[in-house]
Amino acid sequence: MNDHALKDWLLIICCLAVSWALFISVLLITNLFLVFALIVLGGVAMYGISRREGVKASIVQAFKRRNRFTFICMFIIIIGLPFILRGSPYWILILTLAILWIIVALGINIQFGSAGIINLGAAAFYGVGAYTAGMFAIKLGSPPLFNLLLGAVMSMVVGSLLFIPLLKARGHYQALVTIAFVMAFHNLLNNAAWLGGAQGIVGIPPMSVAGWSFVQEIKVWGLKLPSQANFYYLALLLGGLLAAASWRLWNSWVGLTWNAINEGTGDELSAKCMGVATGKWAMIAFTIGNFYIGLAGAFYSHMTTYVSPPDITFYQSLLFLSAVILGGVDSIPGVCLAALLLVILPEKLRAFQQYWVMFFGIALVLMLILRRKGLIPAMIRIYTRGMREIPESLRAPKGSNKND
Amino acid sequence: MPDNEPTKQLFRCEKLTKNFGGLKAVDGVDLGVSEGEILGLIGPNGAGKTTFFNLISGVYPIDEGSFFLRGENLMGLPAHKIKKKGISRTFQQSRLILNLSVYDNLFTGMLESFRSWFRDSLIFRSRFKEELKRAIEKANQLLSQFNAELVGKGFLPVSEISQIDRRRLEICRALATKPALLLLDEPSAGMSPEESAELMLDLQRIREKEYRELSIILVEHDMAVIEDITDRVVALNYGKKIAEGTFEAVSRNEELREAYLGR
Repeated sequence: MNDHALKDWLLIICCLAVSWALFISVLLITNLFLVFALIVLGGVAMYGISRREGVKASIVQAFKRRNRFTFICMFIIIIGLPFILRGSPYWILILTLAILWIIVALGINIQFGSAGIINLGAAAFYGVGAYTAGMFAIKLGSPPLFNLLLGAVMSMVVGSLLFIPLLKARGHYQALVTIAFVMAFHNLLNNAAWLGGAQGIVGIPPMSVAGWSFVQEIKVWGLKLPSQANFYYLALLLGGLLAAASWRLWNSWVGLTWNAINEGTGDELSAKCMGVATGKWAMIAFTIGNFYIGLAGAFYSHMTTYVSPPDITFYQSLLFLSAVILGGVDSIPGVCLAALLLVILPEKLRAFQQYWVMFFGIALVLMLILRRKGLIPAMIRIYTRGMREIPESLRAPKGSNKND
Repeated sequence: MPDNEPTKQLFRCEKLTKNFGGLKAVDGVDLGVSEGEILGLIGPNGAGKTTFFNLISGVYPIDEGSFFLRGENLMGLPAHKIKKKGISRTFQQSRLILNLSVYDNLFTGMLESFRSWFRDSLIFRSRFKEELKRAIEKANQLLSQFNAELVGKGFLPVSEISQIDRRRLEICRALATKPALLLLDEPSAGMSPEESAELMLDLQRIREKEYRELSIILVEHDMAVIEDITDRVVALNYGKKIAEGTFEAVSRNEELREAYLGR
């Protein structure tokens, strides 16, 4: 029995170590050919393992049996990341941005993935958060942590202005409402002098918590972490909390209700006849999603100390939404992975910046053709770990059949 | 259950009317259902049977008339409130959520009875787990009344179970919160005669066991099914009630024969 556990642990540590080493070297190596070669090597290795049934099965089993151990290992690696990357603060900053994207994507996943409200105006709610935090910090000098919360709440409040048009419209027309909103908001920001006009808001004080300014370096055990690590850890804390909340909601009657009113998978009429107040639940999903998006926006403005209208466009909304489509609609791990990729890849491919949108478009179209359910398809809801006693044969991936 | 016997009336509608443009889809229908009664609703295509269901389940707003459940006027209430008052329905075309599990689909029928929402699912997880456990027990009990095999398939996506099991699941879902009145809209549509006979047997069996007081309004084209399980039959044509009574009496009705056979 003990032997078994030891073998599992070793397997998990090996897999995680190899994949994280690959991840970090992909981040740090600047030679694109080398990066490409590494990715291909990783891909070939994964393919090789997936072909050997015995090895694959034992790895999958190990991860399934020891998911608490895996979780702890992942946690240590994620916490330790700034220590490994302390020589390149730029990548810590990018990873922090990736966490903000993950928060946004989780919010859109509640709206679009779970409840089926297509929000193509996410950048506007991001902007509401960012501008609220920026304005309060500049005009009133209110503390940044308070501004984070305020930005998130303001984004919920502004979102409620759209309740009536969203409830009157259905499906694609709802998407039009949100597009109209982000365009109008962009124009407002560009023209309203009291919001800084086309210049935006400059000189927002950087984040600080209880007197600890985030522009300071962190010193731990004689190691110096660059100031960016401050942002990384706070974003990680917030992102972790929000992801956990998202996961718990998904695994509850709330997530189920959202799926039931989702016109894409379930349907509203039948949900109504099952006793669900569909309009109310759609707006709850919309509002909670906006909280996530607004919080990320507010954090962004306290991180970059600068926010301007070009950050808040329809195009940006499309990128946010595509994280959900790419990762897997209603799949929380998938959405997180896709958001991470969508931030890291364009940074890595800076040399081909003008082609990035083209690459991205092709990738998205291929994805929709070849893997419609996303990078990590949504699973059947098992609700709690206690439910794991269900025999393996009864658990199958969501909708893994031909007739849909 | 003959008409003149003094049984408690559960459902009643008066002069129910619905116009689509110039067309009177349902035209002044009066109808009553007693407790524990199975009422068959028949009529040719386009007679207004499904529209009638859509009216009394709150899907369409009513133009004229009103309807009552246990004497309470439900006219004008939205669909989800009518369901909470005790009228539950199925649809002619399956409206299950294909990529959710069998349990999840069944749970959507129980949502109104659940008490663990945001606070319990985010913070007090153990309370949610308690409720989940109870819900699964209830679901297993419901499923096993129809088909014991379905219990083992609880965590399979609905897209992977058979057509007849989907019908069963849909009826289970409508029954999950013990409604007073169940509206079944052509439950045997798209099934073979054997399958539909099996489904009707299931239905009769669970009524005898668990749901003695349950009243049902059944829309069905298969006259053998109607003859078998209904207590009383109402016939509609062009939105109007043209006949009412026992199956034998109604089937002798000239107007109905004409409507069906087109003489």
